[in-house]
Amino acid sequence: MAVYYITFTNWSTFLNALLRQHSVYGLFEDNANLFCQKLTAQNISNITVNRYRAVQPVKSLLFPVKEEVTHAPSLRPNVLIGAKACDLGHLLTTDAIFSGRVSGAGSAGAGGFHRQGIEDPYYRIRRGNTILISADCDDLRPSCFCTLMEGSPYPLKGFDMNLSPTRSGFLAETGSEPGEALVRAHTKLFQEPRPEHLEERRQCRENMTRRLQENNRRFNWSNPKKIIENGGPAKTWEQDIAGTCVECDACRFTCGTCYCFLLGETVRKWDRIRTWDSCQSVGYGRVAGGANPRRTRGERLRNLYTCKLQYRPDNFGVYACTGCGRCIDVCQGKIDIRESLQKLYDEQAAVRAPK
Amino acid sequence: MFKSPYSSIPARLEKIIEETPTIKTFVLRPDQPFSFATGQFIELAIPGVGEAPFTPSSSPYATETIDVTIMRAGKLTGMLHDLRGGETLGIRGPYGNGYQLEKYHGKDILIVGGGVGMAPLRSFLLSLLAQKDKFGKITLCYGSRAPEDVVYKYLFPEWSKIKGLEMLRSVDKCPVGNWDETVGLVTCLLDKVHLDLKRTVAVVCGPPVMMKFGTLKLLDMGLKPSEIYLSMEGNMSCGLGKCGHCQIGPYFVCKDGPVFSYDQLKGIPNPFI
Repeated sequence: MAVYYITFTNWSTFLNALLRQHSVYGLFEDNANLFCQKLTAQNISNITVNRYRAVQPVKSLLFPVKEEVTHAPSLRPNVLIGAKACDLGHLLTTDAIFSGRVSGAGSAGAGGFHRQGIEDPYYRIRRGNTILISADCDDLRPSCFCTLMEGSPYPLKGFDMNLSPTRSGFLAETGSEPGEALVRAHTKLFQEPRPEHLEERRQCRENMTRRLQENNRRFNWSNPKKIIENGGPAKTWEQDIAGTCVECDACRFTCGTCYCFLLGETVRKWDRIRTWDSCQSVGYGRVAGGANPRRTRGERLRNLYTCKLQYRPDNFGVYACTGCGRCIDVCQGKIDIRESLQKLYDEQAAVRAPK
Repeated sequence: MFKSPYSSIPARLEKIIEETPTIKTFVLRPDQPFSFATGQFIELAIPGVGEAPFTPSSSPYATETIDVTIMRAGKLTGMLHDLRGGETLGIRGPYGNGYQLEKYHGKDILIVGGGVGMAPLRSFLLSLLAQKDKFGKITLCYGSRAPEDVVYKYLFPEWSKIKGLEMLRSVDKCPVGNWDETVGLVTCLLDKVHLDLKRTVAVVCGPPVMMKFGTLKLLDMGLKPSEIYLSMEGNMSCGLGKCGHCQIGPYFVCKDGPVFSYDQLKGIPNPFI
């Protein structure tokens, strides 16, 4: 696709034009947190495009906390502005799950046992009707660690349009036909980028990557899949990693790749609803009669890390963790996945080291 | 017209057969054609209350009605057991891979069942018997807790007349005189079976502890992990490989199973609940 330049003045015109035709969601700052909210004529001037990721995961727009799943889904076109690279990375997992696709190299490695699933029409329709205008990060939170997860603070794919900030406007890179169509519909607002704009983008990206590496300097692990595959003794999981878990499930509900849901009946017989569910609650895997595959917090957290860093990469070829750090920010027990991996990594290194 | 994959179709509860004090077979008549392959499961709902996964116990060749054999184990199964018959329930599916019968062609088949785990195995056995010439010797080892817990009591006399089908039954414990077959765990029946290892596949379904020790015993007897097929039914909820509840290791039991060969499960910590 192509790279354009749009001045801040033209951006404002563009935004107003979008608002006339679509339901537009953007990020708004409150006390150093960015919240994803619907854009209105009143709040439009307060929108934040860059900075860092929002508190809510992007999946909330595509896979709502609670939704009715019996009748035909509605076809409302949405535009989301300000998704970050980590957010777009999350969609690789939710797309794969809800489409029923089996794609990872590992699915063949596991002997080709993984079967194709059925597509979820509710997710598909919302996803197909959402235009993603993503943006580079030009700031970070202490919990950010995309660079440890083989990612970057700027997206290279998965967007319809991506915005990189410059002093006087944005570089707008299109990544899909719907993104191009937006430019075509407003050709007067977009210009050819000048070399200094591209240079500005390069510097900003380099600078942010450095800041992220600096932010995570105390962690020296890499290849999280290997760390999880090597595992660790139950005691490490129960005490050192999950010991402070209070089973509030907040980490699951802020995770951008968590797709699990609870299917339930409604008072209107024959209607079903689904709500987000969390594998960290004790009843999650329990079956009738009381048998439970994961009774302890350590077993559940271990299964969670394995899901994100081993099983889903095996299934879909991507980590179901992009280093957005939401689970770290919300944890009441101060459990930090970076530190958990560091503990396992150090233990494994100690075992390997000659005595 | 839009059809949600999460919607059920109505099925009339035509008859209830009391198998044991805790197990009943529910005969359902779906109001639309509904077919399944043996070993696939359905989600059975009491509309407005909830739903749960069950593997039909009837032959897939009988398409008018579907039998589901259910043990009273929790809230929903308790409510099902309290039904009188005539009610309208909801079903959706079928889901999962089921038993891939063509993989067993030409083989001797050892069926190992425990308790209400006999339900999907009855459907499996009926499918084998419907095309018996395609398979070698069939051996059924079935263990129950006590004589009164034996399901399908009325079918065993009929099955015992079938040539090429050997049946061994055990009960875990019982007062003297109430049972003239084996007393002990189902694994001790396996000691009485003579296997031609080169041509035998084992199909196992039962409570987790029985699946675990049954599998270990079969491995001990020399069966290859790839020749041991296990019904790994868990907490399947959506049935479509999405909601996550039934995941074991990298698999969604509802989509990738519920039937797994044991070699598929290696590397998964504690696959048996």
